[in-house]
Amino acid sequence: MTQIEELIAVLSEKRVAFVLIGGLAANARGSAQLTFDVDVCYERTPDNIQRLCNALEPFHPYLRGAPTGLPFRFDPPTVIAGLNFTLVTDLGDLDLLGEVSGLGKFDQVVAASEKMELFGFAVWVLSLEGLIHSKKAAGRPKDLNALPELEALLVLRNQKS
Amino acid sequence: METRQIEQFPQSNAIQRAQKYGVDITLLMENLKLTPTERLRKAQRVLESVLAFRAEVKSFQMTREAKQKHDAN
Repeated sequence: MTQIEELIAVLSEKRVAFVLIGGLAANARGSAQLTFDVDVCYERTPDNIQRLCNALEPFHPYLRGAPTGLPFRFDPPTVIAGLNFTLVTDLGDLDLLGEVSGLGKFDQVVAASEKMELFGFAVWVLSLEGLIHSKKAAGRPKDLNALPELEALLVLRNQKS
Repeated sequence: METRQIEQFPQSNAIQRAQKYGVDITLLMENLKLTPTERLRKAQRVLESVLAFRAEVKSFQMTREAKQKHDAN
């Protein structure tokens, strides 16, 4: 089962530059939808990739859905050669994205995010506006299905503040 | 109580659209009263409950199938 607090703590404590996106970002913004994994956008600099690999290595990251025994190592060369990784770890399912639909790379995703305090850590979390924009851009049925709730949250939040 | 809470907000198109889509606005309003950490703790509890329920259902189904096989023999 995905350990939300532990995953966020591990990445934060190891100073990985990341933005919380996807369903969990929506939950942090008030969504009531059920989320099974943690989605993050990570910065693709060599130093950050090294920190990311160091942070996850103790939790045995492996490609989700891949046959057992596949020669996979989550190390900097692997991350540099790829972009997006759907992983299973000892702390649960973790999706790492180098880019986000409709937003772009890490810097653009940060620009559409705000820092929130989560479990005692200051974490970049994609804004409601960013979530709506990316889900519209992704355009899959599951993304479009999330829009009515996110747009309602935007109204409620604006009326509250 | 919940209906009165909703009525305090002007019924914008987005709220009306969400309600027609089946979104429970009262759940969102309650979530917005929580801190972001509390929202994620709640999400974790819901996830744990759903997975525990699924495991119970699976266990029940396996027990029932085993019993049916046993009875058939």
